[in-house]
Amino acid sequence: MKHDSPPVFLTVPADPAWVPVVQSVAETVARIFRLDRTKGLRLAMGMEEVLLYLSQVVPGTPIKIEVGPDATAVRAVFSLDAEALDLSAMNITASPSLADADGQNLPMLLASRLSDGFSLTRSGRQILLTLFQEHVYPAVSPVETAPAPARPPLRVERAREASLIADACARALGRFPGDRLPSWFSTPARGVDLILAGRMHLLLLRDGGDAVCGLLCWQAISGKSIVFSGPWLLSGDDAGAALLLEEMINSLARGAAVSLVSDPEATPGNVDFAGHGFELLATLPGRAVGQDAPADIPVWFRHLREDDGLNVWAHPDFAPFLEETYRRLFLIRTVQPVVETGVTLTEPSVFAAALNKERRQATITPLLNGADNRDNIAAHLNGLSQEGYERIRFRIDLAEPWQAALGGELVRQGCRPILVLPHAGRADVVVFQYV
Amino acid sequence: MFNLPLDHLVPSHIQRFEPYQPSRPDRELMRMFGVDHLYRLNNNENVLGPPPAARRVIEHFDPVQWPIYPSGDCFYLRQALAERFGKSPDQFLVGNGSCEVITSVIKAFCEKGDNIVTADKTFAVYEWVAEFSGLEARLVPLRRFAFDPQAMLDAADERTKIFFVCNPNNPTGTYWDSATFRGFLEAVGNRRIVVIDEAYFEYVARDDYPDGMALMNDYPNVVVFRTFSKMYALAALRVGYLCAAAEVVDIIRRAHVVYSVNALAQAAAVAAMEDDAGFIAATRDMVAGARALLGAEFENAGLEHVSGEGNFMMVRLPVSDTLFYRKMAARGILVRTMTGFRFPGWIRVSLVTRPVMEAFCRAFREAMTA
Repeated sequence: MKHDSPPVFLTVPADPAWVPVVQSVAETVARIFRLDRTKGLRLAMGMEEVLLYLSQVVPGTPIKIEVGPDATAVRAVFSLDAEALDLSAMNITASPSLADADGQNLPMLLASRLSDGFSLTRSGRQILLTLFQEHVYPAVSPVETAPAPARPPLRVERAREASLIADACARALGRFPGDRLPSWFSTPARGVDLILAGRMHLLLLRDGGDAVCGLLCWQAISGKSIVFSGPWLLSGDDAGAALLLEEMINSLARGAAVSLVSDPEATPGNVDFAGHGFELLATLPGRAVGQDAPADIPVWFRHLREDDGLNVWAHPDFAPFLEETYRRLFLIRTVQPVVETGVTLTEPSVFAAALNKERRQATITPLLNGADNRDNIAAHLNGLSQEGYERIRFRIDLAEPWQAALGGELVRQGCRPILVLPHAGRADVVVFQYV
Repeated sequence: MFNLPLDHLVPSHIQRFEPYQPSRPDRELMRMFGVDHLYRLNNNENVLGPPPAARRVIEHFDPVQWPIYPSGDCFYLRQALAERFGKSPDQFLVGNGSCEVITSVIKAFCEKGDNIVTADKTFAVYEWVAEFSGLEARLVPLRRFAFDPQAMLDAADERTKIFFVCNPNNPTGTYWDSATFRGFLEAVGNRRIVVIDEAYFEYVARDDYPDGMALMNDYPNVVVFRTFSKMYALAALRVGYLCAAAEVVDIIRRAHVVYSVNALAQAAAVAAMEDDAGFIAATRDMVAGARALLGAEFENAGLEHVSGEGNFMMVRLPVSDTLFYRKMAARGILVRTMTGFRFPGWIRVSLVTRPVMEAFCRAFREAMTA
């Protein structure tokens, strides 16, 4: 995969006559960037559907389209100016409805279902809609090896070599339950693409015999926050955990990140993080796949430099949770109560949903504020519960007053705040879980 | 709506570079942490204030001088430095703090493809300036908390233009003695510049501590940095300088901005060197007392600590340095977290007057048990 290839840009009017052009560009780009054939078709169809929808709702409007590589995917970005736009069909809970008798929203419904993911931002009149098609990566099988003590001297190195990474991942899968490891371990080539694109960093612990005996990876989740997973120690002892953690911290020490947080979905249970200078951020209610017994998941955290403090918005229904968290962690925050604006919204809201069927977990991120926030939350909670999702979580960015206001609605609908992630969005992010 | 395609304007090395985030002003920090005082033990400032003569110059700076541009090349200050150190004024270049002369040296000698060599755990500005200039900074691990001369030599190649050696090193306080430095300079030969950053020079009273200004008599590739920010307590006025062979200074001046040092700073720096022996002795006494007090405190707590030269100490904590910073700030004391120096879990503490050091010790014990 070539990571530094430039994207393709085109501007077309919102007009069905231009669909073949968009289709042709999508198919060519998919082929050049080696997207799987089926995925390439889905990319082309998804882009076609978006243009068809825009042709109906903002006919003739110039649409800027950018198609290009995005580490492990090909992405298509649609940019346009519009006063109002109904994008509610992008919600995972959307379905063809009687209210939409003329089927106007159907293209967007198709586009969202054909895509592996999407994002949506509005800034004034400008709307950016991004569709993603992920590459298909081969899976590796777990390799079970008898754990043996690492042979000194131990050393840590940056990993970029695909075969070495694949071997380390396969051995990690043989040693730890797959559902506790980062999901990319089962498709190491995906990890390699992330590394080569500079989106992820991986350290390997090597022993005196050059054997890989540990892994640690991290990624930025915002401009100021890093999430890490590991150390995953493959030898029979915990030798090297300190080396891996210290190397990671030193790699980040002179960068922009303020906050370093362990991945709640993929943190080893056999590492003494407190002994390595990490603070307990929260303990999340959890359950291992296939297990009935609850297993709480500690989330670990440390600052990488002085935290200059933040202003955050909060609804009174979860402000006490925030204040307790900030007090416990000595985090300097000015908590501002959200004010009811009285402004009547006309557009419907849009939420993005990341689903993990194996873990029966759904994570919802609000993308667009809307008149139907309350109903949309209810639809997500009900719909996902009925589909068997046991852990439904919402991520609320406290830099956005409208999102903080949503927090109040979440509490009223049976969610509770469980975790504050410092600097994980434009400000701190608070995670709510449906109980 | 911000709609400027910066990606197409900005060089890749600038896009990659993360700008340094300085601490908030004291008043902001006091408000944030809810305290009515703040002891600044984070920047190695000399709390005794500037020497008396410098203080008088500052207090009586003539308003007639305010509208007038300063001497563009710090004429009188270079004269005073030359007289003080037995050099020619042409051997000195003065900047707006040491950071400016660091930048000028790198600009003067390095071009695309070149690299500099320094330590991984030292003053960060050499590394930063190299990186935002599109140059490689080769970072050599410290050995037993000190610069490793052989590893520095091993890290160099034909594109290495400058070695930066911080002597004594900030934050560990270790230093190369005269024999080590001469051995290093012999091995380097005269094909590269060797910068000796002596920001804490006036704090060191060891017989085997080398004077960079003497070394340059035998090694014309030596460039010495010093500052008025540390011992002379003029940090607010920003005066740093370098001394080198006149031919070397002539090259560096070509990459240096004139008029960057203000008139008050120049006058205060000249005055600071007048009759400064008593002031330096008093400061050294203060630091020695503080070092003994803190050393005993850390010993009693069973904590590893590093105490070399300079007006600071490092201690390794059983918790994260960044958490400890917050706990101490909430008690009105600022310490320097060492994660940014690639010493995670350590803090650096400036050595100041006894009452403040005692206040630090009380807060330290509280924060350790809180």
